[in-house]
Amino acid sequence: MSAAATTERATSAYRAGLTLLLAAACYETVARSGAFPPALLPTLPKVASTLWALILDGTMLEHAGYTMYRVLVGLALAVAIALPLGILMGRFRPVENFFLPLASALMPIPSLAWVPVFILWFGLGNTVAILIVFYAALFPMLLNAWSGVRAVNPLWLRAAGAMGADERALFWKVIIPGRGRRDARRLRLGPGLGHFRRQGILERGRDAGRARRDWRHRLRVRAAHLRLDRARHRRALGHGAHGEGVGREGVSRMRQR
Amino acid sequence: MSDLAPAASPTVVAAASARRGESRWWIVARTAFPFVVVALAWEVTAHLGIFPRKLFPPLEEVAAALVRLTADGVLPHHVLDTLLRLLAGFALAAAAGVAIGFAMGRSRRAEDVFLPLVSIGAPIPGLAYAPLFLLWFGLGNMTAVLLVAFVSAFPIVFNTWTGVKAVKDIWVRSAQAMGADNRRLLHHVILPGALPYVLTGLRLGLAQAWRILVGVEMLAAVPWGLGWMIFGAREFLNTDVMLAGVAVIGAIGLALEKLVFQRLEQYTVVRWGMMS
Repeated sequence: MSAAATTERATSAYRAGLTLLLAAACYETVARSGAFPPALLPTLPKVASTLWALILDGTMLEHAGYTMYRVLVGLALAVAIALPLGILMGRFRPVENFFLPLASALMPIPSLAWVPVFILWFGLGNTVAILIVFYAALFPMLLNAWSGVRAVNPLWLRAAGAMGADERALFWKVIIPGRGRRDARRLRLGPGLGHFRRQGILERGRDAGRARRDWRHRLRVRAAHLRLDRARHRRALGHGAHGEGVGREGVSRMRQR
Repeated sequence: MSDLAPAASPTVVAAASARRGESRWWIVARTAFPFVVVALAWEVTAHLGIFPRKLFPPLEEVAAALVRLTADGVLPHHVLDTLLRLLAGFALAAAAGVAIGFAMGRSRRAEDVFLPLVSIGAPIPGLAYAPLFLLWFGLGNMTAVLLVAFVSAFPIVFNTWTGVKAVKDIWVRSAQAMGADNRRLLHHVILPGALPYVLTGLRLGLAQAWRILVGVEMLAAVPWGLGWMIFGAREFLNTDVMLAGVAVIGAIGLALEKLVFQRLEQYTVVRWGMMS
């Protein structure tokens, strides 16, 4: 089993490497064919040597440093605002009622559409770049923090409340351990993909718990029906309690595959 | 990859509110309230004259600009061009993305070939490709449409691939046991099974396309388009026009989500009970 998996992985890696080599070769052929001017389509060695030269003389690092600075400051601002606000939205309905409509109205506006407006307001320079990063990262984080807090099992909250936990203890002992890992993972998504998807989360967050319970209930009902059917089947075929066909080993074998 | 889970139901909110016994008017008022507050704050700031009026126009000027531009036919022309570009680019991306995603999900070989290419291409922000595309395809529509297609194809490929892989093995095997050939397997089992993921991919792709389109319209010197309208208005300090453009962009984005994708989901995966 493990030997087969290793071979398979090796084959995959081999094919992946081959694809990349092929893609590079295609590019190189087109670049060297002279169909396009070399200034527009430089050969790969040239690209590599330029990259190396830029790294060596520090230009690339400087540029990368400035970019990282802007990204990190914008991201830090977004975290500082989105996480507390999202958590408050998840805990207190009035806060949610106030900020959720605003967030869902602003979210579909691409951050780039604000660039000209921000340039007029704040002038050219770092401020605009940082604000745009902030805007782009804010809403996904806000909505994820909110839906994360909303999705904490309400039973835990009630149990902790019954045991006399105050709001602070509730937050640190129940909400953060309950959802924290997921939120931390999702911070990464902040600057990344998808505000339309967040729209989905938006609607789901409100009632995630209920939906999950419904779903489990449905599964349970279906499982009960299945058991019933199987029992009837066996009786009809005259089998005893131990059915034939796919035994336990068979099932586990199927799962493995 | 938490981006991959199928997105959720549109009716839940309404149902939940109804269950809490809130009337429709109360919900409308509650939703409108924050906007009223923000609008009031905006108005007060604008009329106090802290910022130059040219840069921070009161809302009535923005509204007037919106009405004026619509009556002129300028705004509808911009909107139409932007939507056509979006449609063309997104259609290309959807066709190519779903096809590649299906191929990757169904065939080991295709997966090995495409996965490295896609995983290298995807994390590069879309606008970083813009200068390259501008050099290769020149200024204008061609670049805008191709860049939109290229960038929005990535989430579609990823999600379709995951969706096809997530189709339960047991469904496939039972269909095969019942004698389904390849075509029917694809049509009746894999396609519906992967659809929630495919729809999520399309949704993400459309969001990506919308975002990149607005940006690329500023760069590609297209004659008409909302991004260009905002960008051009900056030259003349027409902040009211810019804000009106931003509002229209937001409205279209919201409408695409609410009117297109939620409907699509309701008629397919929600009705089939694959998503609650």
